[in-house]
Formats: sequence, structure tokens, C-alpha cells
Amino acid sequence: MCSVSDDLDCLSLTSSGSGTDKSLFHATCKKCRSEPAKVVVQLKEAFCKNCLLLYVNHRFRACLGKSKLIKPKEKILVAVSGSLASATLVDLIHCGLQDTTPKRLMFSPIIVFIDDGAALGLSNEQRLKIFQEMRIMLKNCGLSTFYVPLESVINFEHNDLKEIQSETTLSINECSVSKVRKIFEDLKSVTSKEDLLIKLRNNLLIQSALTLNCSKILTAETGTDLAVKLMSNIVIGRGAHLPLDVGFCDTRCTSVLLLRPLQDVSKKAVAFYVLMKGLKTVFIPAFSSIERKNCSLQKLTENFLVGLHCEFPSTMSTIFRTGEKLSLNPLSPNFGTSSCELCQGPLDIYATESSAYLATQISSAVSKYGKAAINSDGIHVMNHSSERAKNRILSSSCKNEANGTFFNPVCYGCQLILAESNNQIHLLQNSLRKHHNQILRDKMKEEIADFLIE
Amino acid sequence: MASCTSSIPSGEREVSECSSATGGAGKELKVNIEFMGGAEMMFDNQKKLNVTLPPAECKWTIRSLLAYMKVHCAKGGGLERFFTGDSVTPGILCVINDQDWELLDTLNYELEPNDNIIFISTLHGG
Repeated sequence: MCSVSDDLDCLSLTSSGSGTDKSLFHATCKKCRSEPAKVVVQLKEAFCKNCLLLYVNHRFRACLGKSKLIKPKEKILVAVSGSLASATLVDLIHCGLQDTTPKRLMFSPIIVFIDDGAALGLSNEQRLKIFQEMRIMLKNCGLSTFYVPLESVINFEHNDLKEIQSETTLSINECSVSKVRKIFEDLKSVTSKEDLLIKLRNNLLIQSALTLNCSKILTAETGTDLAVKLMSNIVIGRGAHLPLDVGFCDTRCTSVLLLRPLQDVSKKAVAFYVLMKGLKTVFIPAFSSIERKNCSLQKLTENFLVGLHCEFPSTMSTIFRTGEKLSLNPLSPNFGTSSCELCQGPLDIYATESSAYLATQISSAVSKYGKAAINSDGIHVMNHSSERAKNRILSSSCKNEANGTFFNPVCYGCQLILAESNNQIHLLQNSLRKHHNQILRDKMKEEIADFLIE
Repeated sequence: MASCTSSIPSGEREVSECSSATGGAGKELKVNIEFMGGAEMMFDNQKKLNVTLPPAECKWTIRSLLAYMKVHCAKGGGLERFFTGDSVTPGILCVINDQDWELLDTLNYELEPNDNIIFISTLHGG
């Protein structure tokens, strides 16, 4: 019915040098063959306005339909950030729910906007401005919309979720704001800041979903975003979680699944969708907005890939389609039974011998303690397979131990974040542990469900 | 940053050569420029700009418009986020009268009076 391989059909490895292709000038739409084309979405595929809108809608519906994960009347959380992609997602859902739409969407969506102004260090006035712009943007969609500030992650309570339309001003909890600000200021690199922000945002989304009794979360990550995320996650040491981070469905938390229904749409198609429908968007700066051009590994990867994509228009789809084939093997000896306390992903630190992880551990131990490390406890213990012994090494690698507070084992990617933080990150510990335990309980409940008497 | 500052004079030269050749002949050209997706950050957070281009003998193109914008409109730092060489940074889309610039010869498109030009940044964080 719907093929997603069309992108790859035009796989060409020759440089097209965008724009030099004269055959597209004043072309007619490739699909309806009558209207003048307005946008080149794929290589040599030019669409008119109506065909582009249909194309984006079709890709979205096909992606959701194919997964067969969403049941009628299910409550679904829709994560909105104000970006081009989230404006598109809200509009697609809004149109899909109309009675006049054939094959109407049957689920009931709830929109949640996470205000991460505290982490970005925005002033209260800037945050209020963004909040009001968001209110206007989401006013016409007619869906129930909630707002939750990122600082709630410190101590999430049910009443932190507020109806956006009934609030006129922001109630800012200065204490939490300064804590969040400290946590982020404490991190040295923009790379870790961006990474931590994504993890905290995901935690908050899952908590909001649990509070609002939603069993799924939809995010507006496009194929372009995911291709960039795939490469940058490898770069920042999160390769073990790729299938969760860039796949269609993130199953980290068994009771709330995170789905990415815009994964088959490119960022360009989304931008033109917004433009042609005249949708409102809200621009919220990111960490990289105020820094220099290649300030973080994520941004550097993005600039590199987008640049490459200009020369070789199949870059993004090739990366994404390759990433799509990755899957997680839960039985692999590299994964433990427990999950990371910070990102909830499976722990990738139970390395088998002669693995890359062990190599970095040995290398860092040797550079820290010199020759003595070879025979010291560190390496010795590492060769034992007992989980406790490994935890000991891990906890000693977390700087927070000095403070008497350290996280339970965290995955390799999160260790890198912790290693950069001096002490402030322990402010997160209690809430994350609570959240972590809840997810573990849910998982256990599911496992023993068959043995329970109702 | 170094590449950015060194390319400004060349842009200036291009514009001034273009306009001086005419000696004031020709007409002024008005175009409307709009920014979306964070591209406005490099232009003093103005979402819309009405630019009146000085008379020039050779026709104004997107290429010369970008050179003009680099000198006259861009404010503050971070120019290299928007301009790369004589074009825009990859990831910033250019839409001319609701049409993708790839359908209109990109940089070589010749501007007409009252053209609407929209720059959309699809990059993370603008």
C-alpha cells in the first residue's frame, strides 16, 4: 500500500549541487501533472501545493497505521515545542480528527508543551513571551493543552501540569528554576547540556503521560532530525540505545511508549507544509543558538550532514533507512537486567571482554593512576563478571561519590554527562530515582501479570 | 568567524561595483523579506524586512541580495550561521513567492519588484 522506499529509489551518489538541475525550472507537479510545481521534496520530485499537503498527510497516516499500535479512544500525549515540525504534527492531528475527514483518527490527543526556559537561562519576561505565543499557536487547534515547566523535573507533582488556555501568567517556582539553572551551568560543554536537556525532557514527558493516563506519546521528530540524531548519538557514546532513540517506537518505559509518526517526512517538507498552510510557529532558542556555529558535537554533526545532503541529496534518507534496521538484542550479554537511572535505557556497561567499553575504562584508569592501575583493584575487579563488582567501579567513576550521593549505575552516555558535572547534578537524584523506581515497578508488574489474581 | 569577516568586503565590493556601473540609472527595487524558524536571530529578531535595493545596471539576483543583506541588514554576531560563501548556510531554505528556489535557479534568480522572499531555518536552534 504505502512504500517508504521511494526515497532510496533515487539513490544517486553523484553530486547534484543543489539547484544546478535545470530540468526542474518551471516544472509541473510530478504527481498531478497539471499544477505548476512549488517545492522539490525529493531528488527531482517536484510537488504542487495540494500534492505536498497530501504527501505529508499520507506519510504521517501511513506511519501510524502501519504500526497498528494506537487503539481507538486511546488517550495520547502529543509533545509540542513550537517548532515547524510540531506545528505540522498538531495540524495533521487536528485535521485528522475532523468529522469530514475520511478514515478519521480515532484516538483522543492531549497536547503538552514543556517550557525549558529555565535550562536555557531565559529571563522570566522571555519565558512569558514564549508562553503567550504558544497559547496563541495552540488556541485554534481545539484540543486540550497542558503546560509544564522543565524545572518540575526536580520535584514533579500532579498540579505542575496546567491548562495552558486557563492560565494567563506563569507561576514560576524560583527555587526549582535556580536549581535547574545550576545543574546546567555546572556542565562544561554544550554537548552535555543538550544531551541532558533531551533526557530530562523525555523524563518529564513520561511523567506527564502517566499523570494524564496516556499510554503513548507522539513526538514531532522528522526523518532529518532522526538521521542527525542517529549520527550524533553514536558520536556522544549513545550507540547502544540507537534503536530506542531513533526508531519509530521507544519502549524504554513499558507503560508509556514514545512514537515518532513524522519519521518518514523530511524537514523541508514540514517547513513547506507550515508555510503553505500558514501555520503559526514559536521559535525557542536552543543552547547552540547563542554559541558559536559548531559549539557542540550534535550541532557539528548536523552542520556536516546538512552540508553533505546539499551535495548528495540521498544522504539523510540513506542514514535514516540504515538506522531503521538496527534493533536491540535484550539477551545480549552487554546489557544488564537493570536500566540507567538517568535515561532509563538498558545498561550498556556490562561489557564482555575485549570490548570497546572495557578499553576506554582501562585507558582512563591507566591515565589516572599510571602503571599501578594494571594490577590495582580497578582492572582486577573489572575482569570479574559479578554485577556488584562492576557497580563499584562505576560508582567510583561518578564524581558525586565524594559527596556521599551517587547515582545507581548509569549507561555510558550518561556517565559522560555526570563526569562533566561537579556536584550540582545530584539535585536531580531524588526525583530521577523516584521516576526510575516507578518504571521498574511497571516493568515488573507486566512481567508477573500472568500470575496475579485480579 | 574569520571566514565571515573576510567575506564581507568582497560582498560590499560586488554591490558597489554593481551600483556604481549604472551611475544612478535604473530604478529602485523593493522586495519583502521574511524570516522563520530562528533565521530572524541574525537580523535583530525582525521577522519581516522591507528592503529597497539601490538602482543597479546588472539585474538584482538572490546572490547580490544576500551580499547586500550581509552588509546592510545583518546585525549582531553569528553571521556564519546564515551566510556561507555567497549563499545561505545549508539547512536554510529560501522561498521566493511561495515557490522553492530550487525551481527558480537558486542564486541566479532575478528579482522582480515586490517579490516575497522567505528564509526558513530548518536547523536546530535556528
